[in-house]
Amino acid sequence: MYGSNGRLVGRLYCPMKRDGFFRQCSIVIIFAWLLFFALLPFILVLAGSFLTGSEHEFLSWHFTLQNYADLFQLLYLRIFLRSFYLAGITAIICLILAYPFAYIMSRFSESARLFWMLILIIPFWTNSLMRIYSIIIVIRVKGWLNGFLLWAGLIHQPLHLMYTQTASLIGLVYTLLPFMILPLYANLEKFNWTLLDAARDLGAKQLRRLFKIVIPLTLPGIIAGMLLVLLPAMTIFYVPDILGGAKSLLLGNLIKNQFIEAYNWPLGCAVSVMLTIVMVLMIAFYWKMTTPKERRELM
Amino acid sequence: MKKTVLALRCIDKWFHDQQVLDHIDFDVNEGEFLTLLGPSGCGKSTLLRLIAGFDVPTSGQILINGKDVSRVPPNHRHVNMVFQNYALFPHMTVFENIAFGLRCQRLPSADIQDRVDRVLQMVKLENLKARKPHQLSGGQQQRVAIARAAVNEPLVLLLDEPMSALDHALRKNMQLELKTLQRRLGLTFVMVTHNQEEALSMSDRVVVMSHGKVEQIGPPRVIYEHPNNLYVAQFIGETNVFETEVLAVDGNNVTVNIEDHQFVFKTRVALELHQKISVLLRPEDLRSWDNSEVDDTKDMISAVVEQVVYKGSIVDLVLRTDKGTKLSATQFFDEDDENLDFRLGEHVWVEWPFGWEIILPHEA
Repeated sequence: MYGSNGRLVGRLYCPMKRDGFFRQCSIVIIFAWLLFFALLPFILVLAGSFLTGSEHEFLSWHFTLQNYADLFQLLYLRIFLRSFYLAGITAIICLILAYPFAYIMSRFSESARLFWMLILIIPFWTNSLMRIYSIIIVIRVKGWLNGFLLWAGLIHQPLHLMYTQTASLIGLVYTLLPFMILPLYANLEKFNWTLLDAARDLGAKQLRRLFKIVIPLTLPGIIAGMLLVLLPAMTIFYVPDILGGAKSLLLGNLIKNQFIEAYNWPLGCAVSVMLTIVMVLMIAFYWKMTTPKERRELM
Repeated sequence: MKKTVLALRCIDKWFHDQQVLDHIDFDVNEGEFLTLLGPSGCGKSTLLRLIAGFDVPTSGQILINGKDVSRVPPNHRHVNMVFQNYALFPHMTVFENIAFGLRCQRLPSADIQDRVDRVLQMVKLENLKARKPHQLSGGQQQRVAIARAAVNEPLVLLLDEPMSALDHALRKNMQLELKTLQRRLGLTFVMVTHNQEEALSMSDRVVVMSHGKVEQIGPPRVIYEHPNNLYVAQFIGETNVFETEVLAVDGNNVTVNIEDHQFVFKTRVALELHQKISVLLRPEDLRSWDNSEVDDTKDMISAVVEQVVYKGSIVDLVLRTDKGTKLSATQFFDEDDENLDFRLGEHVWVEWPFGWEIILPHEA
């Protein structure tokens, strides 16, 4: 479709059509990589989730379903629900922030778009752990945020944000916002703005244009963005670890704790498998909601 | 007396320091098919957007049914537009696309159903109403776009290059169809195009534009046969131009010299002695004879055949006169002249029926 202008260089078959050997080598290497570092570990995790652990060994060869049964304890169910809740809130906040940003950016001139894209991406050249630590400087009791709000007279007592769910939320939104913006922008960039002229011509006011034309047509971008935020939001354990303290335990923390602190590898495996199932379900939902053409356009 | 539905009064439009429309002033009659014709960048699309309400004229008035709507938003003008690539809503069915305008007016759904069905019938798309736009052919999409605009019963329906998204073969068919559809709907159409053939074959009147100005307004036949100026003559169809000057004036008759022959022409415009003029001849008005076919060559121009393009019912010739002027001549196969067997390099005599030439004052 737009192979001729070289925009789809990333697509495997496109630039290497003639170079059969190089092409095959790249594919073999990528497959081997995925096989050894993604599929094989996953099979190990899957197998581990059906084994028992002991004090001497991480895993021992006794088949059991106990790990999955354990997951249905109230404690773990709560963590599951809280993770979904927090990830959901994160995704919604990201969507609310990202949509106007992507919308406005897509209406800019070519050079302005590049500039804003760069502004968006530059922070990602810094280590993400470092960026999370730097959030502390902003939100702690004597941090910049409280300083500003007190100065502006909006609050009279400093906010105690650190080690709360709100702090985790701020960290998650901050970290994951670009994952929402990018698919939305990819979608909006190809948006046919004449459609809005047409809708206006037919008498549609601003809200109708937004809800009947823009949002339905950018739905693939919205769903893709939601997925890209929801999935990591449940698993980046270091954000709630650093900002939320022990108070907001999420799935990612649970898994990490089972492996590193509680040494209960089978349970950690079982949680991981559950998480994978949730992700697969969400991706299946995305698949069902979008057409192959829409998916291709977002890649 | 025909009723004026749309009147443009002294419209100027500036984009920053560039003038794109210069004193546009004309009326559109009810039920008329009017075409704005001109090359790209002549301001015709801007004018259409002003009428639609997407833009505001820098000065001047747009009157619809006598009311000034220059600053009225698009949805309060009773004007609808068919966009260049139709701008159909890709996520809606044909029915929903057409119903969109009516839903914006919050009509009862039974009325909407009725009116959409009626329009679907008129554009002959009843069977396709559940399809999405991408499942339709170009011609069908065009009809949906027209139906979507027409269902609102606009006072004027605007069409922005409606044929440009269609392939060549389809275009001819759709020209006929669009004209028929316009009559059936009984709507006033204002169409923008850069294609002169389209403009001539479909319109009741053509507005020829260049550089933001109206060059001529008139029925296609007048535009073609009596162009106001050299620009119109050359933009509409092919023309042979002889630059010459008036040698003698005798009432309405002027004597001029073309290719070393003296001709006496009748003229409608007053010309002065020694005034520089252009004499225009359409290729289809020129007749070429070979040496054996003519006796009296007094009023004929001698030329040599440089190129022969056979087109079935006609033959296009490129001729070079003895003085070096290049001429295009189209020859028709008919009973008078069955011998159309021209060879390259052959000598021919060129003439035309006197009175068919167009005489215009010379333009620098």
